[in-house]
Amino acid sequence: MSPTAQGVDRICRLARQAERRLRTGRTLGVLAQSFSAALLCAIAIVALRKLGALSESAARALLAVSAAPVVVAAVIAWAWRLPEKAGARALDRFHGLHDRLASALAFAEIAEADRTPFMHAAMADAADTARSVVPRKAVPIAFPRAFIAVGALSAALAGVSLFEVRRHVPLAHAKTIDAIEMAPDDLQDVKDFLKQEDQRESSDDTKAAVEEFNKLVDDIAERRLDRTEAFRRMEVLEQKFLTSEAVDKKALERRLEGLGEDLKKAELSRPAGRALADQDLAKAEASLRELAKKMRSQEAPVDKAKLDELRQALKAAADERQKNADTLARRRDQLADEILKLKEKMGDGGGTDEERSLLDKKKEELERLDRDTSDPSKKNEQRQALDRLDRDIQQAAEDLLRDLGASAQDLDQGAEDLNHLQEQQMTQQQKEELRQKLQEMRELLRQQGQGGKGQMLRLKRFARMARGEGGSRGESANGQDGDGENGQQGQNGQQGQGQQGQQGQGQGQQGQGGAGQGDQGKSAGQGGETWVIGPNGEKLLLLSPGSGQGQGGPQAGQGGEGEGQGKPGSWGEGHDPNVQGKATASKMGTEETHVEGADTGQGSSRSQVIQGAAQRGFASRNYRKVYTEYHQVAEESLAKDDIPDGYRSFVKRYFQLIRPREQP
Amino acid sequence: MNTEEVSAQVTLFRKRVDDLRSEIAKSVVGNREVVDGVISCMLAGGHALLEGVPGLGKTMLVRTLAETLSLTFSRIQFTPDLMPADILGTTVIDETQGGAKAFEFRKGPIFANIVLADEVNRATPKTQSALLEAMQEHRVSVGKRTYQLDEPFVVLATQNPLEMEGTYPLPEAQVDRFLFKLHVAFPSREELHQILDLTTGGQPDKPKPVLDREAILAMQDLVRQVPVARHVQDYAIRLLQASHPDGPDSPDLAKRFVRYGSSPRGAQSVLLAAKIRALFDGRFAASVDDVRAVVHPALRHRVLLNFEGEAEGVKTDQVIDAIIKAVPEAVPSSASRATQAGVGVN
Repeated sequence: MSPTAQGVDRICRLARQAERRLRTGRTLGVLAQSFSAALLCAIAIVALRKLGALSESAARALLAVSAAPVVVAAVIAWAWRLPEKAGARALDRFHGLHDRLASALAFAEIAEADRTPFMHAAMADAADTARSVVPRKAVPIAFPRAFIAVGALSAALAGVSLFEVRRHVPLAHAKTIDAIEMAPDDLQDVKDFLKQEDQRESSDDTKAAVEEFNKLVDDIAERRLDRTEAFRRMEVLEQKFLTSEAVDKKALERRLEGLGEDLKKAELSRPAGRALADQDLAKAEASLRELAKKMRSQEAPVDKAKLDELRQALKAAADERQKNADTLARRRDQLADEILKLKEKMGDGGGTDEERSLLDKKKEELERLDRDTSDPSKKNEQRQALDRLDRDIQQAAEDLLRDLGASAQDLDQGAEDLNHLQEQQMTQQQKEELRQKLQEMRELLRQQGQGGKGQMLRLKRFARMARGEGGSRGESANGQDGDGENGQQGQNGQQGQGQQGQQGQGQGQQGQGGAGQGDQGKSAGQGGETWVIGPNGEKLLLLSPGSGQGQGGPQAGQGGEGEGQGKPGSWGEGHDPNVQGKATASKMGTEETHVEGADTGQGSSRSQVIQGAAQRGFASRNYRKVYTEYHQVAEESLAKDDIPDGYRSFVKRYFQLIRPREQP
Repeated sequence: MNTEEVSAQVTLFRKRVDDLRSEIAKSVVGNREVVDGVISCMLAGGHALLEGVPGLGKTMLVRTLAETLSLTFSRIQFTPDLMPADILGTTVIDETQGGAKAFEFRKGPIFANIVLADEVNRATPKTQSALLEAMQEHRVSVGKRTYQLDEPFVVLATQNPLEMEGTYPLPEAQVDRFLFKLHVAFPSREELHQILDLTTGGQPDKPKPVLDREAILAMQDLVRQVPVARHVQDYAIRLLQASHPDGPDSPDLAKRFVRYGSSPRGAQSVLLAAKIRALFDGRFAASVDDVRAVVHPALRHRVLLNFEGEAEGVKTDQVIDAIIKAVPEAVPSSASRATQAGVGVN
């Protein structure tokens, strides 16, 4: 190889080396820029991941996607074609060779035969100058400035990575319920009622029902039940009460009445018959026991005619029961046949509406008759007790002819049946009371559910005020609903203006001169009206007779001036100042005595008590006294008067709300 | 010819040029680029158009060059009434010694090795056109006869860019015949000092001829032998293409203000001048730097501005600067080859 060729070969190596450095530098530049961009993306991705906006897998995928262009860009930057003879020209430029190397390489590409002497000379010249060429100096690989940004961004990425991932751990939502809520007052009322019921003597199933009722109330108080569950349990509970009460009460009464009528026909059994006709089972029991006692008595044997009369009466009663039973059985069989025929007539088509209605009626009647038949499985304890009573009377009638003692025993047994029947009735009454309370509670819950949370808040506020635990009239006046659930109620919830009972001006009708008694000034005070704010924002009217101050002028020259504190609906008290005794002799020895006042409960007038209760709560002793009186009157009215159930519940509710509270 | 001989010839070439410069420098101060440009035109067998305001030594430069060369020199002062025959020559009736009369062609001043066409733009286009054949073909046709001009034949024309009244701008075809258009710049203060020292002092040394005709022809021959690498030539071509408003690498300035770009003669001029410049440096091949160095004088008279460009006062040198800036020195090889396939340059 000629020196020129060697020189050219060296130039080629140098040029390639320079080109590699060019590629490296270019790749580094591209790498730095693309890496910067990728780092920016990575920072954004990691930040999103830390914020929880991206899942782990998505973040990893995006990081990979953002890293891939870096590699691709680097590869492209390395492989991208360089300008022609870029390495040689770079060497020429740096060393000031005026394209000697590049030209030499270009001439070297020409076939040697075609090369001119000048070309050879140029190549030789280039080979000569190439000795001093240093590609490392000619093509320095500069540190791209973008790497500064890469460093900064890497630090930023590291910083972002240090943050803890904001993990969206799905909270284990305990399945909370929208608990039903009852006002504390109402809960307390129900609890008090159940406490009373629990203390009463009752059957085991009643006690179990009370216990279950208590548990239901406790669950509601502890907010463990939602509305659906609460109503479901109330329904179950009520169903238990209803099942026990399924007996046809009036049918029982009719039977007892019929039995009483039969027994009234004999003189001996007349007291028992009357008691049965009056549904007085206790008295009937006592009468039967008395009769049995008479029949056993050896000292005063019963007249035979009377015994015969008694036998006739007992037999008639037994026959009547038997006759009724036979009639019922026949009627039942007849109904069964009619139902069967009706069903056959209706066929598969279902029949007309009229036929279906008739069928339903007959089924109901058959069901009722079934209860009256002798099938023990379809009777409750009361009916069974009544049946036993019938049998005992029948047995007594039969035994009366043979053995008077056995008959007396039968009557004792009948009395025992009546006793059992009475107990059953008492239990049934208790269950009925429980059922009514349950219905009241359900109605309360229904109303409170309709009233929403606002009503519950108002109820609690009212209860607080009623207990005298803060809440002034002003606060109460602000009965404006905070939540505005019931604007109408809110408007009505404005403080009522208590119309203070006017002090009655009474005039003593009569002054009892010299009797030392004050005139009984009749209280003519107008009944005071005090309005308080109810839980629904409604006005609750507390009525009270006005307290009057009677001032009676003595008539016929002996009029006294009556002065007293008028009691509602009662006479005023007063005394005649002219009938005082003589003045105490001044010379008598005197002794100072300090007597401390005792709270007798007689202080303020009723209107003052009620007004005070409206202002300071229902926790005073005076108010309790006033309330008790009013409540008694109301209870009596409810018992006597024919008041619709709906209104009755409102009255009860009213008094329940304004009932006295314990001292806080 | 081997490498050593080539090297020797290049060395000789450099020496002769240096001698020539030295002799010219005895009368002409500064203007190294213009001097080199004129020398380059002579060595390339081309012509130069010197442009400058009066008094900058354009004529002095040409005269000095003629004095340094053992060549015939003629000076033609172009005036509006100058006729082509005044340049080319005319046929006259001549009487022989025997008394016979015959037509005889009397050569005009164009028949010289170095022709100074002073203030060439003052002649009418008709007269200016009389130079066309001589400049391009190095011959003159008069009547039915054609007269070959002696080599080397160099026309060095001058023109005044300021005094435009009563002048006739050279037609594009003629301007294109000039290898270079050289701007004669105003001398610097140092150069003025030297000028004053030379012209106001004692009798200065007169330039002596340092090159004869054969030497010049040999130098011209050597110039043609200088090779040009493909990438260098490609660069010259891309510069040429970029001078056109619709060229691939054409800068915005060219696209906006150029009416027509350089003809292929421009590339020829560039390459020849680049070769000469390489030889000036004692190199054996032209480089991109050489190309870049000669682009201005070789293309500035070939890039024609449009009306807007002229109205805006855009100089062609500005356009060329933009072209140099826009055209990369090298492109990937495949693109380079495509360019070569598209444009062919002798």
